[in-house]
Amino acid sequence: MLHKGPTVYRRIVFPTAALEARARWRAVNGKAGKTMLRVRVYYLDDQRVREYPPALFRYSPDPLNALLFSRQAAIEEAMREAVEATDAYFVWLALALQEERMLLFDGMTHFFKFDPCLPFATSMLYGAERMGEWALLLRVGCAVAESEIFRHFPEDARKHIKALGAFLQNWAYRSEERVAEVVVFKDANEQFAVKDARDVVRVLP
Amino acid sequence: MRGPKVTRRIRIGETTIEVVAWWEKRGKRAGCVRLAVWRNGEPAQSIIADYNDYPLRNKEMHSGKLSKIAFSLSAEEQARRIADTFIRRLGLALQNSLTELYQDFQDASFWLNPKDALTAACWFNSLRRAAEWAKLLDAAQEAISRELQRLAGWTHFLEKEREAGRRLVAVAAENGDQPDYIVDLNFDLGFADYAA
Repeated sequence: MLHKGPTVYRRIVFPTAALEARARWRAVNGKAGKTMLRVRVYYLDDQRVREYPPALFRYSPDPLNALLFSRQAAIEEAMREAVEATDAYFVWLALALQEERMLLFDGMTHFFKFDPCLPFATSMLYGAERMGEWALLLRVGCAVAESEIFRHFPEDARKHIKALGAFLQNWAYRSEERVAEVVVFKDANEQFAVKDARDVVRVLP
Repeated sequence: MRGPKVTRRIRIGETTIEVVAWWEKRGKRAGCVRLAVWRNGEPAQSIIADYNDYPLRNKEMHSGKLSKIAFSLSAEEQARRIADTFIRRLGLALQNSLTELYQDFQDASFWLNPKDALTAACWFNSLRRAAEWAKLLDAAQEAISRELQRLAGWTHFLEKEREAGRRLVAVAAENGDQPDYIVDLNFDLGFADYAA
């Protein structure tokens, strides 16, 4: 029996805060499973952490089906579910930062799109509730990114926010990695820079 | 600053659902209409159902005693509008009228379409508000459906649910100008004897 899959982490590290999205698939009643996304904000200045209410990505029995073949296949399937949730969060965050609202609408409202095949209004209302959970987490992500960039890079902040959005959109699909980070920092010329954490050479003080 | 409360009561079986709405403004924040759904007198969390400063503007347009009357009238009007919208949406949900319900959610009070929102953050707020509405609607619908299932059994459940939904939509349209009203679904659906 597989109870929980691996947790997948994605972070954006700003100069004084870090935004972390983590997702995990877990079995429900041994018959189905669901993937939840959680968002945390680490305030590095005053060593404070804030976690927001989790959001449901989707129900999926795939890892349990894969368990019929092998445990390894089930773990991989569970990880794939979690990766999809974090990917979706970062892609939607990227679109929101770029103010690409029509694309965001197409992607995000899959929770609450009018679907004539739905049998009952309850399913539609349930979808709207899930969409609200995601909206809160995305709004938190936008607020952290915007406040950090306005605080540390006040000149051309809007341009930097869009640049971060564009970077994230290309960076978001990382199906192989369990933990991945983006670092937003001041480069040697004190200018805005954003890179994958693996590409940054950290120099200890 | 707070306007008068308006109440709509729905009675079904032994359950009474109260929909309470009022306009209020706190400090420098934008005015809003709050909506709360009570079940059998148990208080529930209220949500911000809509934002507008219309009652305050109306108050400022008049002077003296007239300003109080103008404020009270327009605040009540806003509260009635929201309370009746809730009853209407609840009716649509009970009827499973998905197209109309979705259309109702898309209307001016939500801006589900991102084209209408100023920024992505504004749009996320609209989505959250729609989600809060959905939560209240879902809770009220569940309470009514449970009673209907108890009273009508599975055989007539869907038929009675649809009938109840139609009744609520009609009542919301007819009584939009009343500060308080009661919808007794026990009588409307022929359960009066059972309920008594």
